[in-house]
Amino acid sequence: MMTLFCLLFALTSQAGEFEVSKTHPEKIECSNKKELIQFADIKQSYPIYDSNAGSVKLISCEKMQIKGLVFYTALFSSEIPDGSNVQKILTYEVALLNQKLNTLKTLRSEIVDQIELAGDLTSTKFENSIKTEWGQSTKDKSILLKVNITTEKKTTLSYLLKLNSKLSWFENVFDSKASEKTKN
Amino acid sequence: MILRQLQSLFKLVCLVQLVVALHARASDDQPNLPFRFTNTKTVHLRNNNLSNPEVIEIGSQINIDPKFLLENLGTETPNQEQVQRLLLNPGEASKDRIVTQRFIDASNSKAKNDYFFPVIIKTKSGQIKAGKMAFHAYSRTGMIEIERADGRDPKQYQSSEITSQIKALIEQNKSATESQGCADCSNSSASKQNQGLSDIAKALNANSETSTNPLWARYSEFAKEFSTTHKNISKAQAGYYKRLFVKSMIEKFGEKDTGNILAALTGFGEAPHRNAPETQIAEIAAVLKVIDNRANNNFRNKSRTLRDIGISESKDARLTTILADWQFSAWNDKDNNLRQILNFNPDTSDKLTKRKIALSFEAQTMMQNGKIEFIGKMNDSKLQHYHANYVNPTWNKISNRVNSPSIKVDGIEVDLSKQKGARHIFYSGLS
Repeated sequence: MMTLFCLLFALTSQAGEFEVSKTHPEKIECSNKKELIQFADIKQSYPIYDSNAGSVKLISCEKMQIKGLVFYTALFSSEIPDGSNVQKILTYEVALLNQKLNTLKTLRSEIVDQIELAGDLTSTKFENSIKTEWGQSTKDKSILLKVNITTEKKTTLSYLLKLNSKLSWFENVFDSKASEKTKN
Repeated sequence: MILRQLQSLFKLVCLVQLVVALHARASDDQPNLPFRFTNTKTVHLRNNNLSNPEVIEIGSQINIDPKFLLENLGTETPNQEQVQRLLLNPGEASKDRIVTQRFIDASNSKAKNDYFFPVIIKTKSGQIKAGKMAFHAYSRTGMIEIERADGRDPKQYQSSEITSQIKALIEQNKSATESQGCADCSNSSASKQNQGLSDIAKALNANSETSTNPLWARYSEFAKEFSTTHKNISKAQAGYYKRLFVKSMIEKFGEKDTGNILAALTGFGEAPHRNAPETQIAEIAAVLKVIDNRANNNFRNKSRTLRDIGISESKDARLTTILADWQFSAWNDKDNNLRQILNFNPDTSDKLTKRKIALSFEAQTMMQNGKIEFIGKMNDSKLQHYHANYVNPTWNKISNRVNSPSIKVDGIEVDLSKQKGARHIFYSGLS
């Protein structure tokens, strides 16, 4: 209950910063050869963020244009050795199109769910799902991505990601009060 | 009679009482802990003569002595996570042994669960389903063997490494059984070693209540504040809060001290949970050594966690090393140890968790003060890999394995390969 309250508190204060985009992402065709994803309207293939990942299975792809920038997203499952074990992971990846070079660069690789394949396996089915909303900050107009992770128990975790000023990564936005509470 | 025998056996081993519906069978009179054959369908209890197996069906109910729970978890009414952790990391809870083992079917390259069965645990607070897990029990007078449900030789389905582990486990227990003739074993070298290290742990104030470690004290305060502000972090939330945890810690302590704290917490997450401090100190130190070597050798992968909080590369190499993707499982977004770390509140934590975290900080301080000496290949700067002894990752190479992982803790040598319950196999020279 308290956690829900804290989350609600955090989201309420974050929600004030989030202005939903008027444009929306469009579903696009995509395919993959091993760890390389081919989006329908780009010639160059996109290597996923985790170079160790294998058994990539694409689930869906989207294209989003906002504030003159073009983003491609992919939701896929893959398998990654994590030292001792193998992890089956569900990843949502966002890439920015360099419109001059027609290349894609990863801006976020979000792990939506993870199953350890070694050991006590009851199911290899992912329990979490992801939905995103694009928008911008009412404070500094930077591009925001609102992530909603829904668990099997139907609880939803929502948080904001902000594209940094170098346009190099979507970084987590933390509620300032929550951060301050852990300060001296 | 069978029921009483079982109860006495488990009281003897771990104070856990097994109450099961057993098929009535005759048993011989030996009071020692029996074998357990574990397979996917049933558990067979056997006596030391390998005769008269008793079968525990899947879904057997296990009652846990409330006193045992109180002593080991600080409560008679634990929640599911506490019980599961107690059983999955049972050495922590038992001076003798309940050991869980996980094996991979290596008939194909994919890891697969095997040798697991579900149990239901009854506590004062009600029934708790512990899920599928291997639940072996043995003591210095008992042994373990493995059997497949289809009756075929398990060695056919195991990698050579796991087969050797099974053999070693059996051999280890055989020799213990053979040596049980000594009425007072306090003169044995192993006992001397353990006693010596227990004394060290006491002398070092490893008890979390009295620890004088300054970093532990600062971290404790931070953990208390963090867990009070963000209560009951779930598995789905852990990745998000991990980032907040690291960011807040860096803001409060700076990157260097955060590196020290996260290294100690990695030691907590990676080393086995055990009651006795002896092997824990050595194994935590070995994990810290691997972290230091990787940091010094620039052996590190990308870190989502750091990038996500706006740090492309930390000034503290250990921080990048520890938080590198998929390197130390305690920092994986959905790992149970991560949740434990994030939810840890020194005021309300069970004493075992608190004690083990404190011990990790102590091990780190001992390393910094030169009280821990790594011997042979363990002192190699290329000691950069380890894995749990119940898995068989594709990257390991027998030729690079450290066969005698020995560490001197305040002058007393500990060979991890000879310590029961030691969890990891170390490698030197792997790139």
